[in-house]
Amino acid sequence: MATLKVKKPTSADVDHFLDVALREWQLIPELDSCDPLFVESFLTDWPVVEDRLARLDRWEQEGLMTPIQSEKLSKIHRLEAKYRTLVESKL
Amino acid sequence: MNRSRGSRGGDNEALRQHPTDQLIRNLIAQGRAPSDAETVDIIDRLSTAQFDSRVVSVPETVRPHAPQGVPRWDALSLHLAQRAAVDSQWATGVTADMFVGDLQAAARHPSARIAIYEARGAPIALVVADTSDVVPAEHLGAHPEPLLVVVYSADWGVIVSGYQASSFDRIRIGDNALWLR
Repeated sequence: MATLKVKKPTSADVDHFLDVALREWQLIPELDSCDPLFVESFLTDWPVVEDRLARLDRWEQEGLMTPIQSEKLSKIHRLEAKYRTLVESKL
Repeated sequence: MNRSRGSRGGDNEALRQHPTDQLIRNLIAQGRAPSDAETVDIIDRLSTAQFDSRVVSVPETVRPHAPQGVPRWDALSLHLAQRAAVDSQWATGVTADMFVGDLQAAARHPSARIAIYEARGAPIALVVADTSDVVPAEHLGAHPEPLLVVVYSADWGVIVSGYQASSFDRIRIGDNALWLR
């Protein structure tokens, strides 16, 4: 079957995944007011959110981010520090 | 988590009453490991299950990939857009039928791990397979992950999620999980 080929990210890829991750972590305090069906799906798919953040951390360690992108990643980690306990309580 | 009917899965009473879904619920409730024949029934059920067909609010991250101006979308289209256009786990040309076929194939693969457990009060069957064993190369996106995960709701008789994960440790599996294989 298939061999997994992981593409080296472009700067646009990094921007895209940063934007998605930022929105995901910003969503956490809003979950109680969201469509319950969406919330259940969001929590079921939580490993994807975790993998996305881990991938972004890896890309930063590999020097694939601009200073602006690294600052955005730091902002996501500040949200993570603020909201991880909350989301863990819902999982 | 609210388990009121209508909170998850296709709104189909016949599916909810399917004997294999009842079996999964009973096994979880009793903490009993299934017999070999029961395991075969569960694998058959998972490998032919359809995806959740309900209509769901389109989240902001997916809105650019949904039909313009559509605030709600069927769960399968939404899920595929998430996995392909947003996550790049599947290729953007993969159709809904191809995507569901990949998820169904996971349970049939002999090396797949299958567990049943309760998550947020709901009975779940989980399939974990190597992505490279199950997903054809042409279905893969630019950022695939090594494991394919399929989440099946035994309350609703439908697949409620399919995604790729970097490692087994990343996947949330209930402490009470019964492993079928």
